Amino acid sequence: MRADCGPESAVNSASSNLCAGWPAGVKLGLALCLAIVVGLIPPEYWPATGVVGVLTLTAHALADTPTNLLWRRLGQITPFIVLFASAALWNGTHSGAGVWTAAFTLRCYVAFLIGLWLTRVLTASQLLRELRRWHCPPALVAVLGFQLRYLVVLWDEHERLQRAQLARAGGPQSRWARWVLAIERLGLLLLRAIDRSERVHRAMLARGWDGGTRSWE
Amino acid sequence: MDQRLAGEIDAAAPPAVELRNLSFSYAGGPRTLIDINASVSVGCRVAVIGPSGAGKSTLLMHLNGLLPSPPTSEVDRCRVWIHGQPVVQNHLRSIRRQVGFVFQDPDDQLFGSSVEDDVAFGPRQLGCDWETTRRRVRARLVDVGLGDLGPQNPGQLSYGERKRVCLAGVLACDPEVLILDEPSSNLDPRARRQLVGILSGLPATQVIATHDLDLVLDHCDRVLLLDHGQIQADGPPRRVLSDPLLMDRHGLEVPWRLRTAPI
Amino acid sequence: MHIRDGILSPEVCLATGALAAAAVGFSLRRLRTRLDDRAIPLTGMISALIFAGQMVNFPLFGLPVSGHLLGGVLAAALLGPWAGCIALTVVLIVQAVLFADGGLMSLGANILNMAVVGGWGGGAVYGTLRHWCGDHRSGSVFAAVVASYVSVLAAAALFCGEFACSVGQAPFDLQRLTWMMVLYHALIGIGEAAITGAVLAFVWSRRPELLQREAVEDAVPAWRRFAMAGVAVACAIAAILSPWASEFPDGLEAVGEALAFNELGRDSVLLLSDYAVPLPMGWEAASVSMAGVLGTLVVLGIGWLIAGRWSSPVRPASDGSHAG
Repeated sequence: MRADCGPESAVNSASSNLCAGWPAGVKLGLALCLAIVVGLIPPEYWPATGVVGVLTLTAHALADTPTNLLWRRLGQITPFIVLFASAALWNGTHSGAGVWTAAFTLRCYVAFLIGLWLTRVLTASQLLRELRRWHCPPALVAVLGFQLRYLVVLWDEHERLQRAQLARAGGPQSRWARWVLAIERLGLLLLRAIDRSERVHRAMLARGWDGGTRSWE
Repeated sequence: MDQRLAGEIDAAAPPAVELRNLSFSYAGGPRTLIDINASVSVGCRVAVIGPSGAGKSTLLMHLNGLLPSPPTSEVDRCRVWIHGQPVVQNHLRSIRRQVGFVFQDPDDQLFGSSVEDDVAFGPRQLGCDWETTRRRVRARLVDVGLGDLGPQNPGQLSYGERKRVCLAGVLACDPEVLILDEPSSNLDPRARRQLVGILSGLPATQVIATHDLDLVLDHCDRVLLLDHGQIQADGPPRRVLSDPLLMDRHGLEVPWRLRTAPI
Repeated sequence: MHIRDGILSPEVCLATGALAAAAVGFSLRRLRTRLDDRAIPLTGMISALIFAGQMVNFPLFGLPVSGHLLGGVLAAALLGPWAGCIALTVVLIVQAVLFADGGLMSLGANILNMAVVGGWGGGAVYGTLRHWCGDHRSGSVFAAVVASYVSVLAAAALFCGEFACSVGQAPFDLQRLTWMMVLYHALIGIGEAAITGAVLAFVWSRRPELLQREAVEDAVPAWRRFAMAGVAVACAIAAILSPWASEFPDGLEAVGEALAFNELGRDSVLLLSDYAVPLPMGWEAASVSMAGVLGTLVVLGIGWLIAGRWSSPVRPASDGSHAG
């Protein structure tokens, strides 16, 4: 589902838009606040959810979100929302079901738009710095930092492996063959990740690492 | 005890690196290093050359205590000394403070989520406060010519820039001995020139494992030729590298610059 | 698999968030006290791998969509339950904040359902089964296959519970939704089990020493492992049997009354009178339960197949990178 856009797009996104320059704490805090507000609005007050939705769309306009990205991501989540929302209608007998379903659908979409806005304006290093400032456990921040750093490296390696497999296999393959290839790729990636972690560990030791988390506090 | 051991080697000033009868084998494998004896004086730039699999990287890792070193109680088994200090477990912290190690693949060494964070790792681990750390990070990044890349994500840098950030990260610990594993591999000519330029300006003792014989000729004072886990030749670069028989025997080639062209 | 914002109520988000925070905090403490200084880079790298692994598409037979790895049991098998839980947590945090995959408010629920159930529960089932099967390839792969399936079903059961608590007041046909969730996750579970088992089999064929480390399991006392495994299995069984339970347990009902849910809410949630399963509903429930049981059998079969039959060495690495 996410494979159409590599991890670089989000991890490294240095998109220059009007909101990107705001302090990271403000962006993260704003998104969290909006998400909580949307969650707290009862279904009967759905127009309030709509107002938050309009605000979020304005924020998206400021963040210069491409329309096709918006449509694509909204399209991706629609089946899930429809599934949950329609569950209320199956019952059919209840009078409030229609309003409830509509409010529920609206809430899901608005909440998703808030999350999407955050991905447009927050970069990985800003997130890390903010977590550090909020006194997140340093070990967790450290693991997060490693993940963000090496996700791109591992994904590059994955693409190299995939190209090598394609070059070897030539034409189109059966589903079964694709399964076996994907497993092989994943397994190789895993072995390389573990080898790399040993080398990284060695590089950390060489720079005085003793297991402490001073660098992430 | 250290003093006594150091005194045996050299009464005046202990060499930067001293190897005595160093042998090593990985678990279950053949011997990678066999009875290596060498000493590197302070400020010297030594190249370690040899075919792939000769044991160059293994040798370098011993200098930083990255391979299992003997416990402090068994100092007699110690085979590596740095500035007269035996590389045993209790000394690892101080050894690693003195010895900086630049690894071959910058992605292995550059694990910080931003360039600044990464360069700050060493000083932080050595116990510097944030203020000192920040100052040092800035200074070292300027030293390697990347003063304006601080907030960048390492993934966005070119290979040569990443290599230089690695160097800055190691230099931020102020090492007296610098160990470099294949510093010029995979670099384009310009990036290589920049890196060699930076290395030439450093006062530290340098031990460089490399296949880049031009780097050896331009930059180093001495060459160790390592093959089959043993030192096969030791001497000034021009002499060792211009010996066609020796070079050929160990899978190397005399560089073009040293070949006496038949007229 | 990721829960989006808006689906769970704020109270449930708060409660699951608190539980998840406690569990992650506990895991972190274990990580710091029990493992050596290799733990942090290794956990970070495995979490990057799980993330990358989730982006690798697996074609589904006869379906237009594709499946992918979830990775809870894989992480737990490589790192042990504590670090496995941390690795998954970090993946979920990044997915929620930087990829808009899973909600910000429901992050706690996602961590609870996938990281804690996958890491702790899946890891415990894996550890227990492996303890019984022995420290060899087929035992390990079989354990991983079963643990993956159980952890996915347990996550589904947990989600259904969370959702039920969330929509207590809403006019909702919970039963039918639960069936769909269980069916859907029975399918996902099969995929997850197959991928996890096959990847572990691959690792066993190349680098068995990575999985033989007993230290991974010794970090957890046997009784605690057994207890966690028990909870996970119970959740999974609950998922399979959920269609039979036509209403929520009395405890939950009592809580609902204490919190003064209005009559309307209770009537619409509790579709059927206590413990009386009308026949047509019963048939439907039976069919879904059968699907759950059948899924379990299929998974056991896959486990046996991968563990026993996939012993021929996989072809040499298709190495795309330069030799370093």
